[in-house]
Amino acid sequence: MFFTLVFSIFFLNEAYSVDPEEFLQNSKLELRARNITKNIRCLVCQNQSIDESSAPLAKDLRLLIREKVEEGHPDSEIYKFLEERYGEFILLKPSFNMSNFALWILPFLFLFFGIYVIFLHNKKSKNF
Amino acid sequence: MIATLGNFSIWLSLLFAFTQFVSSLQKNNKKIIKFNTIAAIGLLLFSMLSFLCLIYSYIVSDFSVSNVFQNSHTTKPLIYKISAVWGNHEGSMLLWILVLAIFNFFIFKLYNKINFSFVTNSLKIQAFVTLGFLFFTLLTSNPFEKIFPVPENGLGFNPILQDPALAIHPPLLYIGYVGFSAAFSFSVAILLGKDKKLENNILLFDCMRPFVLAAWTFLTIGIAFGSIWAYYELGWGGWWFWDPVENASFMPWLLGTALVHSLIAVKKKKILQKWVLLLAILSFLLSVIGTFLVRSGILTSVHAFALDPSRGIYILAFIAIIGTYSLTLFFLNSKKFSDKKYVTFLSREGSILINNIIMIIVCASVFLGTVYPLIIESFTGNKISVGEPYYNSIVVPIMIPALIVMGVGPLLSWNDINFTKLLKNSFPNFIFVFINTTFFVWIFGSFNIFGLIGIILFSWILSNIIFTLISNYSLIKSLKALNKNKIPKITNSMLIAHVGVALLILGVTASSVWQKEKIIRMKTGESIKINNYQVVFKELNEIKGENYFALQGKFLVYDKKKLLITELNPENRIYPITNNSTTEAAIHTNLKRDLYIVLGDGNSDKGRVIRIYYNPLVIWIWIGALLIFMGGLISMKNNYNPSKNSI
Repeated sequence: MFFTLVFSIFFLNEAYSVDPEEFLQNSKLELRARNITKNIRCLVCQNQSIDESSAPLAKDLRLLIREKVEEGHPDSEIYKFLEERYGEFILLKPSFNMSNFALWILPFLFLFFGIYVIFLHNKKSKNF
Repeated sequence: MIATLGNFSIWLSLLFAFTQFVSSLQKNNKKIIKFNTIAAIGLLLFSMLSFLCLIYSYIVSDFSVSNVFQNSHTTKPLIYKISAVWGNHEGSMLLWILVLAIFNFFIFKLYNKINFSFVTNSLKIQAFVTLGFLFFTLLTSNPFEKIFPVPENGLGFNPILQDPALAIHPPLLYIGYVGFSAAFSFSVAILLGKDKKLENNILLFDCMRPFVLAAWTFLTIGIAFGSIWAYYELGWGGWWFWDPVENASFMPWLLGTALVHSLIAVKKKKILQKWVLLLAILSFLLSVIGTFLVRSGILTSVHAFALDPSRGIYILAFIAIIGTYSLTLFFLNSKKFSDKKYVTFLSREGSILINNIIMIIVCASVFLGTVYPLIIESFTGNKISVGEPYYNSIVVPIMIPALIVMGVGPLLSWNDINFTKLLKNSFPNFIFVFINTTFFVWIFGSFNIFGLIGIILFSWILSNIIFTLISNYSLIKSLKALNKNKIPKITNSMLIAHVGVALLILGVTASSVWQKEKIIRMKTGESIKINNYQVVFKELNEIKGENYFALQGKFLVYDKKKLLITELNPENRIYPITNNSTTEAAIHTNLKRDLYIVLGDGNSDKGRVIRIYYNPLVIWIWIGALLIFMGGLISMKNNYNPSKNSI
């Protein structure tokens, strides 16, 4: 008795994780939409994309993105739309702007600095 | 009673750590030895005793201890009662201290006639670090705190942590993090040393090696277990998510990798000493910063099991103290360790140097990505995310040259080699790489630029090892002593670890590039095809586990010839005590691929959402990690020489 009760409480309600019914018929568009959902953060989860999330909000966003893709909006426009509506936090790949300048540039500066250090070491050693 | 004994043992550990610290400040050598012997052994015994007391409290479910009440439950299987000890913040601090005490003891065992002041200084620093964590535990996170009235049963704990891989993940990881404390102590002790003679100092660097190897080796396997867990528990067929907490373990690993290799250069060529000192300090600081990031709850992450600002502030202050002290000391005293020796690109030491720098660049980039959202938020108030796409586009390209250099490294000698000779030596490699790459791309039947790069790197590293082995072997046979200096000897440990890296790259590449995914709604009786396999959804059962209920799917997998290969049983579990649910993926593994099934939501009318993955060559990731671990262990054994003529 208790057993069935537990099952009826916990397992019968429909959750909101990825559902094949969400997918677009056109496989090219679907691929694009799927890719976008992988780069969008689930706002109510901890470090998950909406593609992986089973939160209701994530499902809404997945449907919204697919709708936009089907309507023919390019990726950049969709990202921009989401960013304006939900804030920069939603983008898992931070956009390249003034405040994120250091985030994108510094690794390359590190790289050049590293190459410089190696050459410096090499040159100094040879003179010795 | 036992809990009180445990609490008392922590205080005694504090006393012994304090004794060791004060005793190491003395001038009288005999006294130092006497007190440090008592202190090192006492610290080890009592930190172990307090840890055992906590384990005992968990085993008997002593809910008068608040920590046990919050993290355990009588219905939990014994093994998970024990692993719950380190599955929470307070208990894991006790483990952290125990590992510190173990490393402290091994440092103490190094005492001999020539390294007296060095070991004493190391013990002093190690005692200071241990004191820091003991105070932290006693002041902010005492696992033996009592509650009254005694609750009838515990609150249970997070069921996703109830898992064998995650049970041993923390202890392995802690040996890694804490192992760097020994490297840190040695590094500071070397900087404090008065001996100007380079030869003597080289011997001290040798002391550091087994400890660094231990830390790096266990960190490697600890991270691997975390990844295995993520792979089958999170249910997305992935195993690395660039979660801040994963980054926190990856950063010390990168510096540890650089450190392990630099120490070889110190031994063989007496170069890079200054570099090693800095790396050793930074590795430990990053380990503690990692702890800070996790424990303070400053990052939103699945691992943030402690949300208490006072802890964060304490650790931050501790980092500030040891960081300022060690780095100031480094900038003041490290000059005497800088070498002006000749380092060219085309030499073993050159390849080590290049790899070192790349590891540091990657580490700095990961650090940047991890803390950037915090920086932006505190300055502008904007919240931003730095997720997987960022790391994939930054870290992966920077890693590639490191792997190319790593491949060629074993082929180079410790001295200069000219470029044409290198090209000539590499010629068979190019052919091997070409054939091997063609073979793999043909097998997977689709072209992908990342796949191609990964397979080339894998073949490149592997072929270099094979051909160096062959040339080593034939040389030993024909010209035994003559060419001794020309061709470098390859040690078994290095060979094993590097083959491990090659296989790891193969697994990582194949499973991320050539993964196949099917997400469909299925009713019982229906079937689907994935990559030559026919998967039949046979039935759905309700089952009852030890402390959970589950829906269990029964899937039959047939191959092309309609032969039954396996039955897979993915589950959806409910843990009624904490009202948590988990998905348990079912995986069939062989050397070629994993078949991975996850049971999703749904009902009997519409069918259930089923996710099926075909993940090629995943097992080679784990085999690779295991080989790196084994290589590390062998090297550790070969490099640890406790004093035979102790005082």
